[in-house]
Amino acid sequence: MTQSALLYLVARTTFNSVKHRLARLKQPRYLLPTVAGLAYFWFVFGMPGLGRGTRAPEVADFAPTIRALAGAGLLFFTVTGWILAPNHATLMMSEAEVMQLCTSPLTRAQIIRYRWLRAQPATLFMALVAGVLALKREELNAIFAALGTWLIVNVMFLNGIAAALFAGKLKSLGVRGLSLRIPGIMLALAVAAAFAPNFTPPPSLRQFREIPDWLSHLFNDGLAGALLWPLRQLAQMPAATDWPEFAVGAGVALAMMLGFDQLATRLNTPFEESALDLAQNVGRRLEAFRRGGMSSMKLAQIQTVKPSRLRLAEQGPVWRAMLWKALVGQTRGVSARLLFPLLGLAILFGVIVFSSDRPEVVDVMVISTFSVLTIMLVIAGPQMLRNDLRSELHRLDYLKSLPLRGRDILRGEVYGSALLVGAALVGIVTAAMLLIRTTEGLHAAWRITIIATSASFLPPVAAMSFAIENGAAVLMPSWVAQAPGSGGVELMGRNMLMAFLRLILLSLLLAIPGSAAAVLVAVGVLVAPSGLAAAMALVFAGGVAGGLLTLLEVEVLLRFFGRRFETLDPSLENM
Amino acid sequence: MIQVVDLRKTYENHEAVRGLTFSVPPGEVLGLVGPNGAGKTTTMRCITGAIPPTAGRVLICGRDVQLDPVGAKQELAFIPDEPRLFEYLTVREHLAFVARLYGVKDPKPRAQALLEELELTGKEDALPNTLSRGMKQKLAIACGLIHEPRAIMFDEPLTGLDPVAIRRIKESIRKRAAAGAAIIISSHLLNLVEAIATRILLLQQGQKLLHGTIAEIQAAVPDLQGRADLEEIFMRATGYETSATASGRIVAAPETPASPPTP
Repeated sequence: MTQSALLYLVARTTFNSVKHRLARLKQPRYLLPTVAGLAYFWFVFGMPGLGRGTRAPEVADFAPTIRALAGAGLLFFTVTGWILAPNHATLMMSEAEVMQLCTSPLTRAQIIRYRWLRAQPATLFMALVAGVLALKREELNAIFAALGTWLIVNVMFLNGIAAALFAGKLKSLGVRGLSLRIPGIMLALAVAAAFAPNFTPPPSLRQFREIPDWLSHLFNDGLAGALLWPLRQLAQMPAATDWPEFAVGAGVALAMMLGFDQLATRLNTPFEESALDLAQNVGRRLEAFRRGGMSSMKLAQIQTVKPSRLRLAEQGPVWRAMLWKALVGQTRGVSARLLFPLLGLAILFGVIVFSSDRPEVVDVMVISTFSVLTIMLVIAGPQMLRNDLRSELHRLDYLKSLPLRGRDILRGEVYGSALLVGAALVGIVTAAMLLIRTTEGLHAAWRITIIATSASFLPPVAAMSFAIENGAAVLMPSWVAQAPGSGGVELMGRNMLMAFLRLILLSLLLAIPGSAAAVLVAVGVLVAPSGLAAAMALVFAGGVAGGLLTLLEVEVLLRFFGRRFETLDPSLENM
Repeated sequence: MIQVVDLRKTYENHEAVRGLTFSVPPGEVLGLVGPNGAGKTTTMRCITGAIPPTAGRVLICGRDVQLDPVGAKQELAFIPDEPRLFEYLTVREHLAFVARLYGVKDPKPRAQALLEELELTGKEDALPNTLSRGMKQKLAIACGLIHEPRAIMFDEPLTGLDPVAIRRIKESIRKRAAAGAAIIISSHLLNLVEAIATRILLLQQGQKLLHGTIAEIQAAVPDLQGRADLEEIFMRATGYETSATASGRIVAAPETPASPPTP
């Protein structure tokens, strides 16, 4: 009886969710992004004749190696799940599920199985996608691909639950710290011991053809081969060519699922408190992410902060107060850890640049890479940094009760984000100028001129990009605010459409300032031979003129959007 | 002083507020009550300038919210039911920021006094997501009061507060009214409204059903013979409990709204 009630809950939830998503497609703001997202998927994966064909013989030769690698990958995920289990809460459910199910007359085993059941719509969807993708390859059987994917995902899912509940059980018994990781570490050491006898130095890249043999020996021989056998059977299911081959993998998968299920349910781990903590924490972070993207999600996790170093003068224009607020939000929302990949990239480039004996080739690489980075940051910056008016839409009624003009609110929000992205853009140009080695025609004075020119032009361009994005939030607030449940194809389509729209508008709006700047810079380059100082001055003047014209356009836009903001009726928007 | 003159708000086929006229003079606390969907929130939003009315005028201290929004809002504080706090600003930074928006001179002593009054001391450097629901509500109230507004709008101000905090906020509201602020409180907690409000405005389907002091609205429902509390009056007047008078339109208590100045 109880299981049928839980089954009913999962079935109705899935049905209602699908029905709701389909019903809201009547509204253009949901229909357009969904169509765009589906069109993208169709173009990439589903278009007839695109990518269909038999496997190249060279690839076919590697099939056993690929399967062995896939098996090793599954082994890696299995073991990693046990090592990382103490980091994770035991059972991830929504707050409503925890409050409802944990206070109902249900056993823990029933709740654990409900959790598995609730994951099935998502795993079945993944299986369906795998099946559809397999249709494009003649050597694959779509049914095996779908069923195999479904079984693999379930094995990994139950492995994760069993590992988390095992760690939870240890915690409930008073085990703390590193001791919690002992089971995972032991498992990893056992795997390493099984592989150690097979390990020989890998062949060099020049001996490419020997790599499959080396991998085959490493994965298939001896104890390691025996250890990997079940996972290899799992991995080969989606690519099985006949039922007997598939049945072996399916048997292994079902046995593993049963084993993990028995372990998870028989442990009787007290997971309720941990599940509730996780549900509340995840719920808060998801809501923050929906409102303001990654930076807001990070803010939702912060427990303590130091007073901001940015000082707010007690008197002055109100838009500066909005700017201060936006900057405090941006600086607290951006994690210093985000800088690590950039630092890594800079170090990598530094090593390449200073160890290469072909500076002209490296210079081309530096210029092209950093140019792409600059363009990407201008275009994708507003998508990454949403901590502006777009994240304030849920408190529109409060914002509108403040004694501020719409343009002052928008100024603060737009320039707050633009300053940060503008600084990053100038940083990229500066890094490129430092890394370029060819000194001929680009001595220090030119490099400084280019940095100064970019500093006067790129931040206004970033401001324009954010002005467009915040303008969209004013003109189409219910479209920009992500509705609950938004995600997948719809969210991807929406982001694609917004990026496309931003690109078009940015190109149009930057045409005049860009042309003015380009003319001055071109004149500067032409007169360079006759007078270096004059040429540099003209290039710099081009950047300043372009920047000022762009800022002027931004101000016009902010006035227009500001007036629209003042007449915006939040009660008409379903945010 | 808050003056609302023939306020109307229409959404497509639905008229949320139908020709509402009332005024809240300095020192008065008006309790805005009514069943769900009566038009309380829409009325509050029109007064705060969050949404434009379809017709009619709203004046805050003589300034039209539509014609001079910044000037009108300068005298106004809106404390929403759900604290609308900036998750990335600390308690102290919230007060500094709001004080700056309203151009408060020397805000630090005022902020400190509010922190003490609302028992937020010790939480100055905390972010909102580390505060309890009640603490967040207190911070929202502190932000609303820092510029010493002459017109204050409270939407369900006591939600999530403990009994001690409720008493504090009630005292704080009375103190502001005594100092000359015009206050509107929208709440479903009728005993609270009855305890604080000097006048009651009962709305139903966007229209004024009753308006006056407790004694006046008791008198407007003769069946109750002047003995009922606000809950009883509410039930009878809105038709949730049948009575001889509730079936018909109840005549509002007489009022004399001040005539608004011409813009």
